[in-house]
Amino acid sequence: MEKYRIRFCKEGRAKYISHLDLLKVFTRCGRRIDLDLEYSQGFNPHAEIVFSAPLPLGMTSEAEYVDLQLAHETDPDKLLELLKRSLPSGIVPLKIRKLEPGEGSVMKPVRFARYRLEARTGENITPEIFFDSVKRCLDSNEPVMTAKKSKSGTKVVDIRPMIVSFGTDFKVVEGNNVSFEAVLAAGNEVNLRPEVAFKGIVDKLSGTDPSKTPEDAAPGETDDSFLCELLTARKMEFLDFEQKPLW
Amino acid sequence: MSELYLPDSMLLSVEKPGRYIGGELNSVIKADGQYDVHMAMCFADVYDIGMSHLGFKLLYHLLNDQERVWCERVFAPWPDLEDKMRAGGYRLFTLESQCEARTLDMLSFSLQYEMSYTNVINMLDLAGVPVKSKDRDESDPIVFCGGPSANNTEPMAEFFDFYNLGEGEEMLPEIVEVYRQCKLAGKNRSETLKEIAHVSGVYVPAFYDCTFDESGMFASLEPKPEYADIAPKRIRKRLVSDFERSYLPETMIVPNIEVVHDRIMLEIFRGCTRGCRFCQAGFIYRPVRERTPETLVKAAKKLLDSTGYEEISMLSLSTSDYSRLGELTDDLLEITVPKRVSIALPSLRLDSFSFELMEKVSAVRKSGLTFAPEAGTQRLRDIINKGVNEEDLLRSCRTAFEGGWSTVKLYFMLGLPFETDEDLIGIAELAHKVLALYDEIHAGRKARRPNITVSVSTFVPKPFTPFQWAPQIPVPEIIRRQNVIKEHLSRRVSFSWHDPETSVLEGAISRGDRRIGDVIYDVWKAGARFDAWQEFLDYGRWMEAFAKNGLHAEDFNRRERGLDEALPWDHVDVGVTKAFLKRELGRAQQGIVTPNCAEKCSGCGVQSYGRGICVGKIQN
Repeated sequence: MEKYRIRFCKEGRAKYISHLDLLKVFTRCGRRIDLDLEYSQGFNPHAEIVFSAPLPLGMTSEAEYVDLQLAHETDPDKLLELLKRSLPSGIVPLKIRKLEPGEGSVMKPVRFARYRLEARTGENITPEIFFDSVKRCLDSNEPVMTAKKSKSGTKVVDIRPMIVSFGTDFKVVEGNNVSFEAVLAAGNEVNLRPEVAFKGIVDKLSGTDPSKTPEDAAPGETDDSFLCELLTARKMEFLDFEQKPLW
Repeated sequence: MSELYLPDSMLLSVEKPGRYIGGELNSVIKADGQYDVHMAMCFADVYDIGMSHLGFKLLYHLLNDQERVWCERVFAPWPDLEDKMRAGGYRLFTLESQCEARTLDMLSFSLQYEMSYTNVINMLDLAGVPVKSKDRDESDPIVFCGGPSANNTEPMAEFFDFYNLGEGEEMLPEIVEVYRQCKLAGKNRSETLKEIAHVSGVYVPAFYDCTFDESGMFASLEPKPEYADIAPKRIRKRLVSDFERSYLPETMIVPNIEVVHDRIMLEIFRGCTRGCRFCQAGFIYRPVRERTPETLVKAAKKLLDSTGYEEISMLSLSTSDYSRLGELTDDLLEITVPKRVSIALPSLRLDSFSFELMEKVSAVRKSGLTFAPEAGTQRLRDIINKGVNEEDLLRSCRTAFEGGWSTVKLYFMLGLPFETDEDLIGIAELAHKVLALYDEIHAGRKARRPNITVSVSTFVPKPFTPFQWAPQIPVPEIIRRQNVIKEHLSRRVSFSWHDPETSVLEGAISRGDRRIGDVIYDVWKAGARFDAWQEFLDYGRWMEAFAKNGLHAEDFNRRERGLDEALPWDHVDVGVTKAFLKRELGRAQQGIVTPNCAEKCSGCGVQSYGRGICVGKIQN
């Protein structure tokens, strides 16, 4: 039994393939390239394929991982080549390595993830002012309250401790569209999705009650110049507890 | 790769956005300059249904294998997306190039079910294409259709520029080539349609006059004098010239999201030898033609290599009637076992041979066996020519129960011609016998509770069957008969039934004439779409549309048609003759069974094609 770990990109139309469907995509690909995938025992055997944490539908990523368990040793470079040729468009294998016996899951060392986000800022505000305000807000270490879904339902919580950085390395794409980076908690214990972080910060800057939508707020109650829209999110890499990028 | 037509924000706000993005493995993209004809196969339901349909996928690959043709796919957006598209001014789009469907040369609809007709109109409207043929001009695509429901051409005659009648494998490439020549020669729409009309199997509704008598009944359908030289009086359905050598795709699109039937489908034979008198498929797909195991296994191997699917399903109207089933299964197992691919054997008649087969392919899910006696008494089963008797059924159940099964589903129809309450009570009695058999086999032992379901659909008379003249019972009578079964059925048997209103509408459209087209148009105008989905069907809205046109659904259903009456589908020649259907109706009245055509030819007329198992058979 040999395990191989592959890091892959999920982008383009493939960002609409759900985590559940991804298993089928890889199993079928394995059959097309005659991969000797190991199967689980039991009534409904499934191929031994394990992914990193699910990527939200619609997000692209350069840091998806899959572990394939094969019956026999194989040439990793050849395997990578075969996968590249056979996977559907938008799922692009980047690199491969053979796992050492006893090596743990991809997610075990993961504590944070780095994202690149694109947003459209309000008409009445320059990107400089916007990001300066974001920086001051985070530097103040004041709580950032927002509605967050968890297993036990939706609660308004302080997400500030889950934000390492937000709004760094920003660039104007065109007009009011800006691109910037964020490092947020990720992994098996705590996880903050970029759109939740975005909403929390924007609500705080505009003075919106986190339990209300902007349309519900009374006129004049909020500062509309901070209202802006998150356009895209791309996961760039996972980071460990020292914020070092994963393989 | 082209950009998506709809913005991400819209796609992410609807259910299953994977339906709308294309880009699946083995979907076909052609570059500008690689094609002269740009067309689409359109399916009048959502992606998950359309992509489960073998015929739709087969014709897609067939058309894309033609030089100079690019065929894309178009599906109906689910209402959640459609509402957003209309609000935002978006139009119906193709999956592959993500362009507006109205910019294409041709749109080909696959008609599978009458209740999807409002979706056809809705899709044309959403595309920005005039929904009626007469309103289209040079800037619009040519809109046509084919498929089983297209055999009664008249209900949708106003909406299509032409119909393909019969099998598409040879006809479609021919039509597209004629179109291509016309396009390259700069011919206009009406000249092009005249050229297409020359292809055998094509029906152009606008070339015909439809008349009604003074009481409003359908009287005749004749070619208009000015088209007499190109429009045949009767259109004969097309058959592929050689089924064994006919198109079998070597590749197939693999959807990225879950669809209803997500597997390789191998069509092992076409047609059915049984001649059950209620079954339209059993008559319109004649003659029976088989493919050899060699051809099928070769195709299966290529399909497995190109798709990676985990399941192969044999496809036909009655798997057990395939003459070399054992051999085919063994040969398939040789290639499927090493790849961990499973084989599905649907619509098996359950005898000892098929139990053996099921064990062999380990398709044995002890949770589901189905039997279709269709009627509750032998008298009625003989009337409908369903060659199953009670002993067969109980013997199969015994084998199943002894083999550890505890779940059995029994399929029946109600509202069959010549049905009495005795036949309905017979349904309950048959279910009770199955139940008693289970108890007997497990007597004195601790056994699982049996799970026996009686599922009863409502019979809808269809054109091109011996029951095409028969009356269909109205809603209150359907409900009464459902209740008769319910009252007599033990509480230990589960009972499921079909919505009576859907059956009544399906019946009216199935045997409708051109006047039904106005009803379908008006009900669509009033907001109908996805009528095949119970949650969207609004019967009251349909009744209003009938009333607005001075019609009633029951006019089409309750009346027993005269044997000499002109029928709105008489101009379509499916090979089976009207004389044969009349003879079959007579035998039904007398309860005489007609033999399977593998045993004896009954002279249905399809022998005139000189193909399939009819070759060399002596007509009696």
